[in-house]
Amino acid sequence: MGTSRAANAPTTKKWNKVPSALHSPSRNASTIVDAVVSATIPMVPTSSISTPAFYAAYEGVHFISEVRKHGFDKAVERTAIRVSEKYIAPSIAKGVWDVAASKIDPKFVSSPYGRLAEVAFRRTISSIVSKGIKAMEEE
Amino acid sequence: MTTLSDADKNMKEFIEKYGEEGFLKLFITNYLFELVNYFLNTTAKDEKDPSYLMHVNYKGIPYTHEEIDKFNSAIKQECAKLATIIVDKLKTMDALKNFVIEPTPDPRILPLLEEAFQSIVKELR
Repeated sequence: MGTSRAANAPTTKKWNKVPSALHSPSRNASTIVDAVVSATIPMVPTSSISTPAFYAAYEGVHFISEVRKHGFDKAVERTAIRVSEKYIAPSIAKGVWDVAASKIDPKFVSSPYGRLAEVAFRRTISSIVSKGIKAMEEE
Repeated sequence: MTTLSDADKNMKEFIEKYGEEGFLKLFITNYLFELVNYFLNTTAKDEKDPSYLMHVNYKGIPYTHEEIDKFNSAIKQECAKLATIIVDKLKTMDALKNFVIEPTPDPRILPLLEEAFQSIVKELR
């Protein structure tokens, strides 16, 4: 209990390019990302990746648009987010994610891709709230 | 520590400079980064174990923390390039505005997002 195990690496022919690229003396991020994406995205049912991303993207854009239209305080109120005074950025990120997650089929929320979408979403909102434009510039 | 007034200022500045499209690009970049890292940290029982190869070079010498951080930054930059392709694809499909104007998520946009994710695979072929 409380331990996690990494998933097994894919065993397809296309995946073989990934360990080769990682092991290369001239290891290159572009080659590695291209190899991972080419080998994995076609292998995973598209809906598993895009469903959590879709609802998260929608709620994120919607929240941003609420802030644009009504200001930050009103947007928080209208989205019914509870903001912790001590942990402002993470609590806003969690609040908006909870709204998104409530609209997603639970099988997608609890899937590995749903969890990755949650991490990515909360990191994105949190970094915008705490860093502003630097969130993008640090990419 | 971020205060409520910092949060207000930071969000307004971000929105003014990058808008809703900027949020989407940043989120998809972070999502692709998580996806790529998830697969790069999978395991195999042989010498092709990606989680081992991520941390040890071709000579069997472990990478330093600095080298790993630099590599992760480079991976993220590559993910940002792919996120731009996805967001551009959504724009050409006229799907982006639906994220902004629809009061509830429009399920008709989901297949367009699926197509946008598939488009990066086609781009890499």
